[in-house]
Amino acid sequence: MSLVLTALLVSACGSGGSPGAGDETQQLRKKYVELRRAEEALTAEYPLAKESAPYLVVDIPNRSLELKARGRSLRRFGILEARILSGGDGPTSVWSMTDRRPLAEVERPKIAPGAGEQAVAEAAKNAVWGPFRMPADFDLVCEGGDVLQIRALPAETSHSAIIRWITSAQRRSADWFRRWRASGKEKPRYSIQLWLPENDSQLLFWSLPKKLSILILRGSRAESASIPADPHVLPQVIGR
Amino acid sequence: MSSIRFRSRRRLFDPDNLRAWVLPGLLGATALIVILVPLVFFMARSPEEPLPESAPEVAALDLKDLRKQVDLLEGKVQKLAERRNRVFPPGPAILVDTAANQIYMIQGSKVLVQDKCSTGSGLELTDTSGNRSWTFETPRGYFRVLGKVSDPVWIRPDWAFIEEGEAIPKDRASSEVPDVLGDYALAFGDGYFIHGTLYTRMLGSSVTHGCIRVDDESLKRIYQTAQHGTPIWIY
Repeated sequence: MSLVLTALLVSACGSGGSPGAGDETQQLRKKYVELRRAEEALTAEYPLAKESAPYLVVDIPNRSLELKARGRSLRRFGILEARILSGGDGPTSVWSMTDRRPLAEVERPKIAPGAGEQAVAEAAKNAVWGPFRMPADFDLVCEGGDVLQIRALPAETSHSAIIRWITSAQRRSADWFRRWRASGKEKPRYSIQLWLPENDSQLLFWSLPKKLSILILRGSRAESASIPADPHVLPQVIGR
Repeated sequence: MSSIRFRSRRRLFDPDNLRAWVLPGLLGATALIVILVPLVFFMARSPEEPLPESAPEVAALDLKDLRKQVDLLEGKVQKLAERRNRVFPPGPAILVDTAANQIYMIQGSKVLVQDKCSTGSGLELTDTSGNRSWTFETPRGYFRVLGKVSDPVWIRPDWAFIEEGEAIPKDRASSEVPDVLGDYALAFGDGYFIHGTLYTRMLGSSVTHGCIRVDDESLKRIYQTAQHGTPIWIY
């Protein structure tokens, strides 16, 4: 009996020490992977942060989207879903946006000549224009034909649960149908689809400049890592 | 022929007949929903995400070496984060949030000025001939202070006359309007300015022709702190 116990004890020690040590090894390996991801992300962001132009960071594992300038966040959004539709080139890549293409054009309100500035100001004050008028579904077309598709689902607070569910199903099936119709055509080299809450996707469209660099951080949710943020907090509207 | 059609139509809306097809119809529709809705979700679902591979370079390391590697990497990440954080200019900078119609002047982590402003209305004006049109939008992106003017005089552009239904004058002097842009103006390119306003009750709304209107007191502080080249981010 004592021989068996001794043998068990020896085998436990022989296979990497105590069970606690095994856990620590696993934790350290996980931390190592996270740190490597943070290192890759920070290294890839630095050249963009050195430039004055704002840039977008799409962090797929962490499900976040940030409009940044010089390393600081101007706006931050949560991604509800992300999927890579085509291509996949390493953990990080930088795209250059050349065009924003809404799936449905938004008509601007018009002023009649002779309306007068005060009348115009009153018309504008009556909330005819704002992020809420922006398209919720749009494509960010980048150099080389890469496409970042932004699609919207109803926001959590927008409607009752059943209406949200029906709207989500309708939007998902419309998107599936669009992709099915485009399946015969030539696919973009790289194509990523992000689903955001509707008001966030509209605010994103509203905030974007004409040209933009986009840093894509790829990976699965399991690879999420906390990438150190700039401790200086800008006065900002997070989401809306 | 017509009597036969009439008869068949009557049979269709016969109460007995209604009972005969309403129930199967409802059952059929329910079955369709039960089948179609999960199918739509199945088709539109996110693909299964693969689990990450553990870093092969540390797979063979023992606990002591692994700790050392993690410490090294931690230090490296810290340095990279500090390097990235140093990139933000230490001097004053102007931020304009067009969705909230808020203007900020910051320096490092300090907020020097925070106030309501007015930005572009997004409206579109087309002249009567239909040849020219203007979109009154504040541009987004990075800009710099290109010029500082005290007691600015507004030189009315053509759209200002068209908007008012007035004839566009030939001489420049007739286009000059003093005292409407406040005490100061900061130019940031393409005819856009940060300036004061007579319409203070409109501050906080998107009502301008693209310029950024600010309250007199905040404008004075921004004007006094900003220099040529002071960065402006509009988003």
